[in-house]
Amino acid sequence: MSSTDSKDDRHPVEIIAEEYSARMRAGEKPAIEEYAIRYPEHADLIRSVLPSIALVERVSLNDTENRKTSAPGQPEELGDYEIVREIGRGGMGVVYEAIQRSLNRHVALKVISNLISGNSKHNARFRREAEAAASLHHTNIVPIYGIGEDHGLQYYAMQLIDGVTLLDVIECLKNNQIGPTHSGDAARWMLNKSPTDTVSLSSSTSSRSSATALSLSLLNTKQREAETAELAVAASKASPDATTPISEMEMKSSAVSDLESTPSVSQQLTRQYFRNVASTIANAANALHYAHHQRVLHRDIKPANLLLDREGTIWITDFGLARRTDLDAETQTGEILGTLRYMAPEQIAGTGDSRVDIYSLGLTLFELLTLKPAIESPKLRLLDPERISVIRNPRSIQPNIPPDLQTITLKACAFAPQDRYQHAREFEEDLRRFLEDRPILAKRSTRVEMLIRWSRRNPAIATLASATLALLVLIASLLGIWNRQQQRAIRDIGEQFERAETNLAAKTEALTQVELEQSRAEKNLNLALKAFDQITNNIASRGSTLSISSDLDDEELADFAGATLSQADVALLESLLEFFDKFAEENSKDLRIEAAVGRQRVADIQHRLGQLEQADLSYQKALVAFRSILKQKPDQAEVVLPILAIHAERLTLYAKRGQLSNALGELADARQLLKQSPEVSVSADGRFALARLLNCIGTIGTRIGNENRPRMNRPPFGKFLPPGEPLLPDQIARINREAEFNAEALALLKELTNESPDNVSYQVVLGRSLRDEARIARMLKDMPRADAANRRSIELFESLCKTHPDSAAFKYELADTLSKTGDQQRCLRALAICEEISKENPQIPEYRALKATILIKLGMMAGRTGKSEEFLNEAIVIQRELANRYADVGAYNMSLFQSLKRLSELQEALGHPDKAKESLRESNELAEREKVRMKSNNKTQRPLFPFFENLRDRQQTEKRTKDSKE
Amino acid sequence: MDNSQESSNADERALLTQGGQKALADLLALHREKLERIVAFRIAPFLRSRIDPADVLQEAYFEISRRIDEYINGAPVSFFVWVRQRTIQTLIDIHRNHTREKRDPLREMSLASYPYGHTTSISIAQFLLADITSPSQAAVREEETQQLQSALESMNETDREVIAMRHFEHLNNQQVAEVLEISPTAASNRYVRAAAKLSEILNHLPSRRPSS
Repeated sequence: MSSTDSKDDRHPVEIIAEEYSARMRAGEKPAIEEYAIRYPEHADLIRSVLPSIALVERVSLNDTENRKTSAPGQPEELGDYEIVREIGRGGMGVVYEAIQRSLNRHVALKVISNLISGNSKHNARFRREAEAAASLHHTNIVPIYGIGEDHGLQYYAMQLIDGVTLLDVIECLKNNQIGPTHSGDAARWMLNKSPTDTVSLSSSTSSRSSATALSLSLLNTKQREAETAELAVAASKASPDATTPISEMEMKSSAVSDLESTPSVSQQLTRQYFRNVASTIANAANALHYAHHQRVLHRDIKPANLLLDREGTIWITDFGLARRTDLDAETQTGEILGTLRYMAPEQIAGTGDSRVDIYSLGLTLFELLTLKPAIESPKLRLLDPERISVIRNPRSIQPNIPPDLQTITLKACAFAPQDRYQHAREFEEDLRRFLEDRPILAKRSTRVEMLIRWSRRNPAIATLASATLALLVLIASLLGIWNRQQQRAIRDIGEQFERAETNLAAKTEALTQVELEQSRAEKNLNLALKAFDQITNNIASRGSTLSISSDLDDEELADFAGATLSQADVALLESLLEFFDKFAEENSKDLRIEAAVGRQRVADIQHRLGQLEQADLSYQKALVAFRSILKQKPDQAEVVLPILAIHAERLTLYAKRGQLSNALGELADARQLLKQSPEVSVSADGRFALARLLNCIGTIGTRIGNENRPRMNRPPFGKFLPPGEPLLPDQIARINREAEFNAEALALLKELTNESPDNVSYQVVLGRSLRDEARIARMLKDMPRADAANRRSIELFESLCKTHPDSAAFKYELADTLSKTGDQQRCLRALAICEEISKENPQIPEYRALKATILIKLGMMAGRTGKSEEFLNEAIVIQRELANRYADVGAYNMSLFQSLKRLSELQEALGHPDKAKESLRESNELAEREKVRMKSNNKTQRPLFPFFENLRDRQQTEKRTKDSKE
Repeated sequence: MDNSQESSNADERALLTQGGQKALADLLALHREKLERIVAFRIAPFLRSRIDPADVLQEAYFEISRRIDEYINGAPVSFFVWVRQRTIQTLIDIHRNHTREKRDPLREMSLASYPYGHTTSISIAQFLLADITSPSQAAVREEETQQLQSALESMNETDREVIAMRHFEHLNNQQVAEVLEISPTAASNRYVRAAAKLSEILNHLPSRRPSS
């Protein structure tokens, strides 16, 4: 018997079999009879099925065990080489220590992973690469002895270097482990070496085998010189360390650190250390230059591929990934090799030239200087290389680093290849200049550009909370860099900022403790302000369809403006604000306007996010700030205009919350202010600001209905109610009032457009006002006037579209007007426009949102028909996508919610109660999800409309609506 | 599909959309063991001794990170089922690379039917044949294995897949349902039917072969 009526109905025997299998996997031997007794009604089936299940499980488990014990083994010999042991493993394959029998010498044998060597494309490349590497002869490049293939395995032999990798050196320094291990010795050498020193590897027993200890004890410099190089290397067990897995390294380190404890090494990093690092990297750069000259790229430069031998010589190994620059055919575009953490951004994208090696060597330098990887989360780079490839300031981690060395590092790992050293030679040259205390060639100023570029190309900072920190650090470091000679104090701030990396509060604290030398700080502040402005503009403009105005004259547009913003943007801006508030307080320059503008921007974003209460509060703060400035600067456009803009925002904000009298209060305040500011009020900007205010209140007045009944509680499918209902007297009064406001706005705008016929902003707002005029006229049943206004609005936007054929924003406005005329043909045209612009601009959700709105309108025009349902369904697909994509934008969720409700009603009306139930269920689920989301935001946020406050009320309203229909 | 599953899919998507790569890494770590198992099971015999399943996974993860948007914007399957698909696809690509080059006898094998063709039985066969450690174990297991193999081979493809997914890949009913694009109820019934068929076939096989 199998029934399908309940939603989670599984076959009982399937559930039994599942439990039975689970017990077998847990090592039990469950009795089949036990189940037969427990479930007598299925006893027969259980007795027949479970034995087979047991067999399958046994076979399956058997395989699991086999797999555990049968890892691919180590070959005993390959060609001329006798494998001694494995000394390391990497992405490309395994490295063995081996003896080359014909020459009786120890070599390092790299066997390429079958995964990589498995196909002809890779094999051909491997050969070429090995050939390329074998052709390199340089004192800092590990020589290749030969390549071969045996047992189906590709391998190549190279000189066994008696040394450790820089990875190990870094690990040792990081773990304060400079004791008697090879890498510890090397680390100590790095710390202390003077030019004539060699690394004296100690002969302690910390190495892994007694053989190692023995061979080590045999080793000292003189003996080694006396013997043949090969034998010495044979005796050495140093290279194993070079490729020891980190876990083992750490074990070793901790074991030894018991013997010897020193104060934190990272605090001890001295000038000498940095100089040693610089000269080591300079030599590596020299080797790279040579290789590049031979048309060979390394493509996988990283600390693990740089060996430091006992002479202190640096060796680049593993040219296995290198390719000849002229033999590119085998390397498919888009194919990614190498190690993500050290890869240049363009290399991640599958391209790149010799500058990728410079980048990677730069990151290696960074890591040696700071003992921290420059890129903390390499995996993140796959998705978004640009954002994640922003490199921190090395001095923010390790303040002792000489500034010039930092500059060199940052130049080497600049994001864009053209900003880096163009040749390894130049990189080397700058390092030598640093070592000789000559001025370096790299310029610091590029950092400012970097910041600005960075802010430009981060349209979705939102997803990373850490971006806030990164930005602060960047700004702080910007300050730190810009004024290095003149301004110590500011740099200290920068450094204090950077040190308190994880704690914003600590940062501001630190700031207050620092005395500012005021006059000199200004320059830097101006720079920082510029950057701030870029960033806020970037964020704020993302919210509105037309960045020329932030008005909210249209219901749908208001709903969707801000879709691409998120809570993280607010957090980001708020933390930036803290930063500016402090500067504003402590600096001689009057930064209060900037700080107030910052507040305003935060409020704007909160407003677009639908966080009405927080936005209200932020606007108040901004208003207080501006008003206090106004006392000293009456009638100044830079103060008055922002105040007017804030009044406009607050007005819509109150309107959304259904507080009409407060909204009108804002208008009154604005008028009052204009009266006190005669100059501004006659200026074009002043009149334009007033026009926008009027336009706002005009369009919102009618929408409010009565107080405490915002849109959400209106019957969700108003158009299904019998049309032509007579208007109530107070409705007429309100519409008349709105008409007055809009008429005033229109008059102002006409004036303005006459004065400046080329001003696009004026025309756009005029077009919108005409649109409203049409809507108002229609409500007053004055159809000829409505048609005239609509025509003019359409004409206006059409001519804008003609003069700006590439502007999707004007097309959007045109479509908006077209869709609001109530004419089906125009709606269809609007739909076509929306389809066009949203195809061209898939990144702008507003376009798709308007398309959905138009589809809904078309649906309503189609009446209660299947066609209508189709339209609604298509709209819902779009809205669902938007709601999923911009999960923290309440407006999209709300539109979807409404559409689902509409659909449900329509389906009910069309006689599909099942479908109707399903749609209603989805809408309720959405509501629930939204509620959860809201709860999870710890602040008491509210969506644009009191979405969930009154689920029950709303359901009652629905019921009433339904009742009234029947 | 039941509601809880649907909403947990949405959760995964939301998590991936908002949490980015960190969330992706966390989710993948959650499924790692199962995925390794799947790779080990599906990998072709001739590659078995040569390629570490971990390497295949690494390769698959790479693809997954690159294509995560396809998942986020794609059909509403659960994350695991999607990842499994991508992993198997990666494996197919690796197979393809190897067979094309090596002129392996197995290259005649119908690649088009991967992963749901006779690969299941090949997979089962290969790990039974390979690496049997002790001779005494071997005798018993070989016998069982051969039985199972021939039984599975005589089943239809979907039934075979259902058994394989449940017992070799350790997928649960819900996941099987998603892979086969049927309801959990149907998947559950399908499983019982397949298991019953398997039992029937096993019972009718020529009596146990004497172990040689």
